[in-house]
Amino acid sequence: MPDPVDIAALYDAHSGPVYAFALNLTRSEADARDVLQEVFVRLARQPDALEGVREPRSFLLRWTHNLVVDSARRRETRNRRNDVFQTETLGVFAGTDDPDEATFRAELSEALGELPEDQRAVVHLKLWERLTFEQIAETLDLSPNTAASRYRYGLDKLRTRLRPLYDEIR
Amino acid sequence: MNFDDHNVPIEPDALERRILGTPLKAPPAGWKAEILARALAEEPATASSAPKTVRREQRPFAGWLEWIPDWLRAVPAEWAAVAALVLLAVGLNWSLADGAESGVSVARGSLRDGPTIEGAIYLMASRESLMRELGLTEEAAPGPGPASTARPAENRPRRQLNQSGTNDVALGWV
Repeated sequence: MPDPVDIAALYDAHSGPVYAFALNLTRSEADARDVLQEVFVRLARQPDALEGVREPRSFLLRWTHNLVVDSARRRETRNRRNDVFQTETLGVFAGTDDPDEATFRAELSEALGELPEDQRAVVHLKLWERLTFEQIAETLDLSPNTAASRYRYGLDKLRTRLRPLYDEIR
Repeated sequence: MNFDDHNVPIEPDALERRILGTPLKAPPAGWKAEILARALAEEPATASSAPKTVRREQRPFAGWLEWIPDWLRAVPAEWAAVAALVLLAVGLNWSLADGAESGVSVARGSLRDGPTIEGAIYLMASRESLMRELGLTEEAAPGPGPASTARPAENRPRRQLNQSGTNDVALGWV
């Protein structure tokens, strides 16, 4: 049984990025919560999973990505079975009292949601986790060049989508 | 503007800088206790619950099979079986074709140079191919049956001895 302090410390250190990444990919609070819980349940079941791991954050984000992919498959099956097509527009950013900033965050959240999931994952890891393309490649199991090109495409789409706002803030 | 190895600008532009400053949602504080309680209630994976793996010394052919590349190991058994059958059929076809051809050539050599045991064997083995090559057909069996495809007697080649008198199977036009 792992030391409860260890799991709690790991939760404090990594739950935010894990949840935000899961939320940005799944666009569902319930699914993101399931993923977050599953990551820490897995950690408890495999106490030595992080042994010898240089970047625990990248490792946990990799688990998160894999769980999101699995959950997306399950959700697709469920939706097909129930003939449900939900289009959830969910903010992935923290709330703010500043109306301009709130508008920007809402636009950005929507623009991110319009990106294909593979590009969104790379953009998220590059911009908010500050991972290098090599680290992103390792996390998402693809080549660094693919990660870089997905980032460029994703960012270009964000620029086009946010052009009016982007011109204002430039 | 400077670019990194992946042709991406090193310095973030205005949009990137603005995005970087945007805080993401954090998980609600109330979840922590619940998730940790759920996680800590889990039994850690033990030896008995872990997937069973066969130890190396229990796999007698492990060393022999190591040369097989991973991509080949990933091929499903059904596909491998079909591919093996196709290769076998193609190989057998080539082998038979080669055999018939070499049989004809040895038999032809035998007709030219005199009888040999090898020539006789090939002659028997490739009789049909040889006859087909030489434009001959089988004699029709006597009695009722399908019409004979053999040439009329007057058109058949006559057997004759060659000059040395040693070739008793030589055909007239060889």
